[in-house]
Amino acid sequence: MIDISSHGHEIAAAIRDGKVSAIQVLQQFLARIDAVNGQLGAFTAITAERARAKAAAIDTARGRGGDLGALAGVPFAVKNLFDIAGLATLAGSKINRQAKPAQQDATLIQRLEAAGAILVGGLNMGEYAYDFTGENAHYGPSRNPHDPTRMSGGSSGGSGTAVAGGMVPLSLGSDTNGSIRVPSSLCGLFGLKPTFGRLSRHGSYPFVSSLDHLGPLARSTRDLALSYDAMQGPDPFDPVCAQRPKEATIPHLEAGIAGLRIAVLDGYFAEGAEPEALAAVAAFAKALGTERRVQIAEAAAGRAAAYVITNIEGANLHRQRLRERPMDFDPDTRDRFLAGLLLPGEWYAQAQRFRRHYCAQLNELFRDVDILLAPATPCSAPKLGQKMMTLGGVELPVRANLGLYTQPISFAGLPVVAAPYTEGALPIGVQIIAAPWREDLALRVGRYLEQSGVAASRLP
Amino acid sequence: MTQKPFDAEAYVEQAAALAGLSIPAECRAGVIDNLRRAHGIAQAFLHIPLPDDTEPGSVFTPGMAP
Repeated sequence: MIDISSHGHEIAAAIRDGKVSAIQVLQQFLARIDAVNGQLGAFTAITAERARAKAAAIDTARGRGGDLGALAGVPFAVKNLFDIAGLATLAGSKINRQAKPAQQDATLIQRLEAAGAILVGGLNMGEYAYDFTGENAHYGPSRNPHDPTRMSGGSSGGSGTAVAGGMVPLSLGSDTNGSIRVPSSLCGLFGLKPTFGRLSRHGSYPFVSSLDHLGPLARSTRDLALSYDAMQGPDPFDPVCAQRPKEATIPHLEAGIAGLRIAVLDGYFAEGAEPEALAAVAAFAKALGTERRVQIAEAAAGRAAAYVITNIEGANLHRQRLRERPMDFDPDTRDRFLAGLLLPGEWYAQAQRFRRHYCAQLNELFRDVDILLAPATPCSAPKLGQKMMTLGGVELPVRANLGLYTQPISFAGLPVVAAPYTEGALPIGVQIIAAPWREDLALRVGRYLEQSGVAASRLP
Repeated sequence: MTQKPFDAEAYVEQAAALAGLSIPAECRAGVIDNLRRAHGIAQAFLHIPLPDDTEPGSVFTPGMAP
C-alpha cells in the first residue's frame, strides 16, 4: 500500500524498488475514485480495464528487470478533450456524444504511457473549453475538493478536482486563455502551461488553434517536470508543434535561483486583485528576495485581442453546429459562440497583427528580467453558480474575469508554472512566468518556492 | 466626421442576415449582450496604431502533410 497523498515520482520509485506493485497502486486509486468522484464530479469516464492491463504489463516488466520508465505505474487522467482510443471525445459537450470513438490515444497520452504512466480516465470540463468556472450544464460541475460548494475553476475543472481530490497524482489539461492556471489556482495545485507550440496537440479536440496549449497539473514541481519532459518533442501531426529537440528540465530542477533576475508584474496585474491574490504574490516575492516591479504596458490590450481571436476562432470551429443545433450547446457558451460568428473579420486580422507587436514588447522586457510574478486568479474559488463578483470594488462577471491575469500571458505564448499559496482559508495560485522556451527557469523557481515551504499543495 | 454609437440590436439583425445565421429567439438578448461586451473589450487594442510591416502573429509553414 502507498499513501494516497504520495506524489507521482514517489509512486514510481516505490514501484521500481518493488515496495508495491503497479496493480496494487492502481486498485488503491480506483477505490479512491469510486469513493469520492460521485461527490466531486471529476471523471466522465473511467478506463479501469485498460489501466489494469497496463499495470499488469509494468509488473511483468519489473519481474524481468526491464526499464519501467520515469513515471512507472503513476495513474493519470486527462481532460475529456483528449482522444482516448475507443471513446468519443466529448470536449465537455452533449453534441460530441454522437462522435465516432477515437481510433487512437492523443500524442501526449501515448508519450506518458511510454514513460510508464497509466491512464485511468477522462475528466469533466467546461463545454468546448470556453470556460473559467468548471461548471457544465450537461455533466454537472467539477467541484473544488477544498470546499465542494465552490468552483474548481475551468475549463480544465475535472483535471483540477481529480488531483486536488487525491484521485490521481497527475492530470492533463488544456489552456487557451488560462484553463490550466485557473483550476491550478482555485484547487491549490502546481500547473504547467508550456510555451505555445512546445507540446503536441495532436489528438486533442481544438478550441482556438492560435492559442491552444496542453500541459500537466500535479501536487509537486517534480511531477510537472517529469511528465513535461516525457511529453516533449516534435510531432509532424501538429503543424503548430515546434521542431525543437527535447530540452529536459529535470536535470536543472534543483539549480535554485542564484543569478535569476526576478520581478513582480505591477500595473494591470495589481489592479482589481483581491487581498488574498496580492498576499500570495507578496509572499512569493519575499521568499525570492525581490522588490523589483515591472509593467507590461499593453496588458489590457493583449487580453482584449486574445478575447477577440478566441471568440472568432472558437465560433468558426462550431459554425455548422451553431446553425443546425444551437439549443444543444451549454447556455453558458452558446450566446458567446453565436456572437463570435458575427464579429468583423477586420478585428481578427488586427488582433493577429497586434499579437506580433505585443510579443515583441514582451521579448524586450525579457532582456532585462528572467522571471515575472503575477496572480493566477484575482481571487480564491467563488461559489458554484455565482455569476458576478466584486473585484477592486467593481462588480464583474465571474466567468469572463477569472482569467483576467492569465489571458495577457498566454496571448504571448509564454511558459508559466502556476504555484499554490495555501496560507489563507482557500488556496490561490501565483504565475511564475518565463521567456519563451524557458520552462526550465519557471520550474526551477517553482521548485525553490516549494522547497522553501512557501508554495505547497496539500490534500484537503 | 462624427462616429455613430454602436447599435448592437440592429447590427445583430444585419450581420446575422449577412452570415446566413438564424438566431433562436431565446438566444437573441444574450447574443446582443455578448456583442456589446466584445465591442467594449475590442476598443482596448483596435485603436493602437501598428506599423505597416507588422506581420500577423499566425504563421503558416508550407509542406506536405505527414
